[in-house]
Amino acid sequence: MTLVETPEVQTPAALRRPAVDEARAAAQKAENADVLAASRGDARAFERLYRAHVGKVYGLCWRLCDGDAAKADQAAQDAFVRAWEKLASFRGESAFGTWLHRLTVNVVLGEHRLLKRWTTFEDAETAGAPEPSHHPTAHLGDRMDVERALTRLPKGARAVLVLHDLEGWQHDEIAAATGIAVGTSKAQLHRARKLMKEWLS
Amino acid sequence: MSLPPSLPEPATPLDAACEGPVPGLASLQREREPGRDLWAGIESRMAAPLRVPQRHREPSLWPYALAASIAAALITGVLLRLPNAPATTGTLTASAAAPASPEGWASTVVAQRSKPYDNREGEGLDSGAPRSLRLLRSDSLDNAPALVAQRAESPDSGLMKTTYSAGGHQGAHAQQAILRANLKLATQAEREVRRALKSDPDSQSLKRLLVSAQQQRELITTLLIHDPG
Repeated sequence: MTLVETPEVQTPAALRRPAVDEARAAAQKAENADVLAASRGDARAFERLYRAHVGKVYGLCWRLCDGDAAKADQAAQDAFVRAWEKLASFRGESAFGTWLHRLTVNVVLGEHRLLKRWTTFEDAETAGAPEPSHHPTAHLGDRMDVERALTRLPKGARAVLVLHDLEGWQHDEIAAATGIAVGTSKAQLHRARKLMKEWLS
Repeated sequence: MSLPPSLPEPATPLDAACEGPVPGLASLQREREPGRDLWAGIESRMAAPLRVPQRHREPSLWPYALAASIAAALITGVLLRLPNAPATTGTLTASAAAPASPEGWASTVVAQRSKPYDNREGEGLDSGAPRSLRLLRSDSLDNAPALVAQRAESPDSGLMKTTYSAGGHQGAHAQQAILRANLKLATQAEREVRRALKSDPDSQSLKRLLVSAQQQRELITTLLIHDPG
């Protein structure tokens, strides 16, 4: 049987790229317009921003809140309400999503005080590192998946790992947001990675 | 902040020892939909009036209070001015590994330059001694601020510059408070690195990080001993 290539496959990638760029630029333009309108009090525009970003914001809150859905709900709501209140101070120096992410981390780590009492690795080792009882897949199988291993980490180490390896923060940024030394952040990351690799191997 | 996460971070010795991120971690889905629509709750809180402090439009006494404060400051300044002790204004670098405010990246603090360091202007970063020697000299107490400044310039030092410029007793207290706060942070960092080393004793990068943390702690301790306030 002879396969007939569709015209779409034959289209060079270089020719398709401008269309993608145009779509992206249009989306960015629409978002900028929504940000401007929302900063002037347009709740519908802010709802559109909420719909566009709730997935990433909630995902971040969910991981920083130990996978606790109720806490993550509250944290995400707090983050968006804070964003609404602070939108006038957004100067557009970074993308709105970047600004919203930083604000979310500040809300979660600052107000919920997850890191106020820094959980050390020693605590986890002496306590036998119990898995969170609320995690739905906590007892399924012997080999942990990445998500379960992540929830097993102590809070401080998990926050550093999530911010550094998932969100792309650097150690000095993590130190500034959490109130720890850069060296502590590096040590937490090192240990978190090692533990994760052991658990996942 | 550097989002998206694809932006590279300058390589540090620690990164090499960690052997990169956890496999599969980067492929985790960052987005997660909440179990229920949160918009209704957000919208109801948006509708609530913002907690903006209301200004009282009563007859204001501010102009009189301001004038009285300025007059008092001027009189106090004239009366307390000492000819041999002018308030020295300068900049000093202290370690501030983590600003108290989550939204701030550096702290600005008011303090007075300590007298023993006054004649050290110009020394420090440009000193001719090799960097390693200057870092390890145990008898270089007078160079302590310069050493801290030097460590602050190091990309992996974990120290941030804190600039302050003012004079007086309160400045000295603020300097002591900063040093003590940073000593606590440096001690915590050293403790965490030691814990990590317990489980990974062969890690060269952790050993280097431990040396760095120890040096930071020793430098801050030196400053505290040398200038007890």
